[in-house]
This record gives sequence, structure tokens and C-alpha cells, in this order.
Amino acid sequence: MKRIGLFLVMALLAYTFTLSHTLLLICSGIAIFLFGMFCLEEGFRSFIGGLLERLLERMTSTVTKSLFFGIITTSIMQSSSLISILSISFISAGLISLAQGIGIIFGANLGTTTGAWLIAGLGLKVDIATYAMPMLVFGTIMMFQNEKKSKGIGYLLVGLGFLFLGIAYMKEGFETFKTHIDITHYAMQGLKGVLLFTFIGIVATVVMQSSHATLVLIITALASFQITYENALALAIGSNVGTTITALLGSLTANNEGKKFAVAHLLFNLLSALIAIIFMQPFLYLVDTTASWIGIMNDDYALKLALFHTFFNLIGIVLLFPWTTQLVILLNALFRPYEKDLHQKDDVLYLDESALDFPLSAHTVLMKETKHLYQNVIEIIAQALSIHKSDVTSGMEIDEIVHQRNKALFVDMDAYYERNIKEIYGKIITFAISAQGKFSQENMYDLVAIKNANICIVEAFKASKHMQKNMLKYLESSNSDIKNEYNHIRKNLISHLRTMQLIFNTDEEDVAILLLSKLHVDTQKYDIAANKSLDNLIRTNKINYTMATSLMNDTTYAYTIASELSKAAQLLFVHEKKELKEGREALILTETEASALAHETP
Amino acid sequence: MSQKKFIHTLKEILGISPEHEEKKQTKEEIKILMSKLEQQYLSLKEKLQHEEDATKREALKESLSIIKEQLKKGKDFLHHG
Repeated sequence: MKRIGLFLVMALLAYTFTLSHTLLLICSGIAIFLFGMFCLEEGFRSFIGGLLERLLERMTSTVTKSLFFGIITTSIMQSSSLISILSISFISAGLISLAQGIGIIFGANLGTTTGAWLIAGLGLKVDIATYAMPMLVFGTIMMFQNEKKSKGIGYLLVGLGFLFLGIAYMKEGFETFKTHIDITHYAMQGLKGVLLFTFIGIVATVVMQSSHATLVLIITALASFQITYENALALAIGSNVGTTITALLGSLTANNEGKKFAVAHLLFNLLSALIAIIFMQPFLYLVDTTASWIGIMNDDYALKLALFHTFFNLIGIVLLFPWTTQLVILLNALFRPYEKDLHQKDDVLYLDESALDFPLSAHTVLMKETKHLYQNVIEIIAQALSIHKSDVTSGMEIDEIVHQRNKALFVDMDAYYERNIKEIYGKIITFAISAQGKFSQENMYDLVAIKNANICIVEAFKASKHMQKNMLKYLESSNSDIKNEYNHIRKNLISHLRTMQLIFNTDEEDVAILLLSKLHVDTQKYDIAANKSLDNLIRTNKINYTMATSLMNDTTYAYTIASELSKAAQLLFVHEKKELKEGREALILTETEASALAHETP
Repeated sequence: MSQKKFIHTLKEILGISPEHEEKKQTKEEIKILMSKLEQQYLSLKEKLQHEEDATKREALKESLSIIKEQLKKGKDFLHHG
């Protein structure tokens, strides 16, 4: 259906192009302009992508700061779309709050109005096509460089070049157009006209997915007297509403927080548009007064349109920004978190495609989801040891836990795997692989480490599944020696799980580093203690050969659980924060060092 | 914010810290961690003096030897890393 629609639109366009060369000129101008926007966004992503993320992380601690961040970054980058996608990605990853995101998008609305000033002030008055050509040449040369930054600059230059060229084409198109047809005949006055042209503005922006492109079209048409000033204002209002489509589309793959953000964006722009429509006359008076005050000619409608665009966004912010907290409360009430049935399949909580747009958000959600998987695996490993997860985190002595939970606890591990592990694990690995292919080598290193941590966690689960069968059998055995040996395995693993939980919960880095090293030393002790005990039991005929084989196998499984979980904990801890990675890694004992220490200590 | 700190923060945000500066920063972080570990060592040593339970004494001794090893690793990194 979609393909048929696309084909029909293309066929219709092709037919109209054969009828009007001018229309072809205008449409190619729009296409070149949109391609320029695409190149510009790509350039900003690769050239200052990291910078933007660092700025967003540090300079949006309050809603007011977020507002200024939105104004400044959008003014510089001339793309509210990029800022809204970045905000959705960061909100979904939990790196910034919804209120901060709303602050950013309010600011971005104002920042994007600088585009209208640039087009009306420079784009129409200077022959910008002259500047476009060298930019395209230099940009293309830079684009073919191997270095990422040069490539990014190349994209930026090519993007700007195409933007200029697109504007020039549109300008030329409208100039030619007015010699043939005067479409001002179709102008409509009054509220009816405002509503109709607002609607046209919305549709045009939704189709082009760029309010900048719509504004260029409006300003060039206005400068060529192809539309009336009043209708141009209505179109600008419409473009402001239509631009929310980017955030709405972006939020389709985001979680609830991302969706709330997109709705907040839509609400803000809708309300600003309503205010502008209702108070159109006072707005026009304000624009006229300010224009004459700052020296804009009375008939320079393009600049007056830019002024109007700024005013109605500014007034929207003044009126709605103080209500940010209330807006957040309303959105939280509208988008309630989905409550999961206990027997329902567990699914990912944090991973969504919007987080794949930027390395920091991808890293954050991947880390959170891994911890989610880890908690599920710890729950089942605890049950495989015939205890409950709450026992691990309780303050009870380990001997006491083992004493109290002296009955075998059967749990269907395969069913648990299907319900609580498989889906999440699969999605984490798929997400990590997708992210690996998208980002730089440096970011890839961290993503691979987190992916490996997941593999270790699931390996630990598999080992616990193998161990469970004998654990169930011997915990209720009449042979107290074999029972004691299995209780010994349980105690060691409970202690291990407890240390792991402490590492995940502590904020003190030195404690975590010490505990991680301790985990490695404890893991190395498994074999030493088990071998001594096994030799003794066999020699004294306290266990039969079947028991001995089971014990040998299960000791190995216990060792696998401990070592895989330790590896996972270390990978997650070391790769949690990029800037602390090297320092953390340098102090944690390696396997060899831990082994040497384990053999030294009694 | 002092001028030096401001420049440092700006460099960090812009991601233009030269390699030797990053190394210096890592060493600085390790030094902080080591001093925390040293404090941890002293407090565990004190705990050991008052602990009477044999198992807990063993665990404390093990932790002390781990910290000792970690401090040795840290010193090696600071001198040769």
C-alpha cells in the first residue's frame, strides 16, 4: 500500500514537472534543501556528536539550564530535529529527566526561529548560490578523508552548500513563477484563511519533516509576493505544529518517557499556535511596533515574518514554561507504567531503538538491561541452591540460611529460562551488535565488554542448571557427608552472590574494587578446598564413586558459576564509566594474582 | 571556579585533553583510590585486633592481604604505567 502511494505521488510529480519547469525548479530546491539538512545533521552527529552528548549530560542539570541549552544548540545547529532525537534518546536512557527534556525542547523551539532570521536576512539578500559552490567542492574533498572529524566537517560544508543551493533554486523558482501566475488570487482573509493556511503549513512540514524547509518555502514565496503576509504568518504557525512530527515519529520506538516527551512537544507547539491564532491582531501590532523600532522596513515582510515567528515562540515559552512541573505530572498520569503479571514473560525494560542514536544512551540502557538480566539470573541461581534471592540480601548468617533452607526446592529451570532470561538475553545481544556497528572503535570496546558480561551471566545460569539436579538429590540424602559437601558448595555460592550484590549496590569505589578482588581470590580457592575434601572422602570410603563423580562435576559447575559471575561483575564495574575505566582496571587483581594469593592464604 | 579548573572542564567537555593529560588524570584517580584503600586497610587492621571469631579473623586477614596486593599493583602502575 505504502509503495503504491509512493509510486502514485512520484508519477504525479513527474507529470506536473513536464507541465511546469518552474514547479520542477521549486521542488528540486526543496529536495536539495532537505538533503542539505540531512548532511548537516550527519555532520553534527559525527563532528560534534560526542561534544553534544557531554554538553547535554553536564549542562542540563536544571530545567532553566535545559531551556538555554535548547536555545543555544538549536541556534548553532539549525536543527531542532537533531536536538529532539537526542533528547528522546537521553530521556529513554534515563540520562535526563522528562522535565529537563521539556526544557530543552521549549528552548529548541526558540532556537529554531534563528533559521527564519538567517533566511530572511541573508538568504534572500545575498546571492548565496555563489557561496554554495565552493562549500560543495571543499566539503566533498573533506568527506572522502578517512579521519572521522574531517569527514564530519565535510558533511557540514556539503550540508550548508546544499542548503544555500536549495534556497537559491526556490528563490529562482518563485521569481519565474510570478511572471506566469499570480497565486495571491488564492489568498484568503480572516479566521478562515488563518485556519486553512495553518493546516497547509502543518501538512507541508509533516510531508517534508522539516520546519526549516517549510519556512524557506514560505519566506521565498513571500519575498516574491506569491503569498500574502497574513497567510505566510498562518503557514509559519502551521510549520511550528508540523515540526512535532519528528519527535512523534522518534518516540514510536522509544519507551514511555520518550513518548511523554513527544506529547509534551506537541502540546507546547499546539498551545503556542492556539495563542498565536487567537491573539493574531495583538501579535501583528507587536511585530509592527518592534519592526519599526529595530529598523526593519515596513514592507520587508520576510524579516517581519521572522520577527513574528520569534515572538510567538517566545510568548509560548513565557506562558507555558512555568507550568513544566504540572505538565510532567499530567503526562505521568496519562502514561502509566505497564504492570506485569507474575506469570507473564519478562521482557526488556530499557532497550529501545531510540537509544541506538547516540553512544552514551546506548551504553547506559545496555548497562541497565544487563543489570536487569543479572537480577533475574541471580534469582534462579539462588533457587537452584534451594534458597530464595531474599536470603542472599538478608543480613542472616550464611550458616543459618543453609540450616533453615535444608529442604530441596524444586524449580523448573528451563521454564524460568524461557520466561525470564531468553528474550531479554537475545534482545541485549542484538542491541549490542547493532550498537557495535554504529559507533566508533572506542565506544565499541565498552559495548563488547558489556555484551561479554551478558554471555558470562548466562553461562553462570547454565552451570547452575546442570548443578541443580544433584543438588536436589543430595540435599535430601541420608549420607550426611555428601550432604555436607553440597551444603559447603551452597555456602560458598551464597557468599559469592552476597558479595556480588554488595558490589552492585555500593557507591564506594574502593569497596567495590576490594570486593571484586576478593571474588577472584574466593573463586580460585574453590578447586583447592574441593580437591582436598574429595580426596579425603574417597580415601575414607565415606562416599561412593557415583557420589564422587557428581561432586567433582558439581564443584566444577560451582566454580564456573563463581568465575563467570565474577567476570561479569568486573566487566560491568570497569566499563560503567569511561573516565574511571583505566583506574579501576589497574587496581583489581587479575586471575593470576588472585590465584597466587589464594594459594598463599590458608 | 578557578581559571585552571575552568580550562580543564572546558577541555574535558570538548574532548580535547591530550593523551599525557589523560594519563595524568588516571594516575590522579588511582592515587585517590589508593589512599581510600589505605584507610580501608587501617580500619580492617583495627577490626582484626578486636575480632575474636576465628572465621571472621581469617576473612579479615584475607581482605588485608588483598588490599596489600592492590596497593602494590597501584604503586607499580604509578611508577611504570
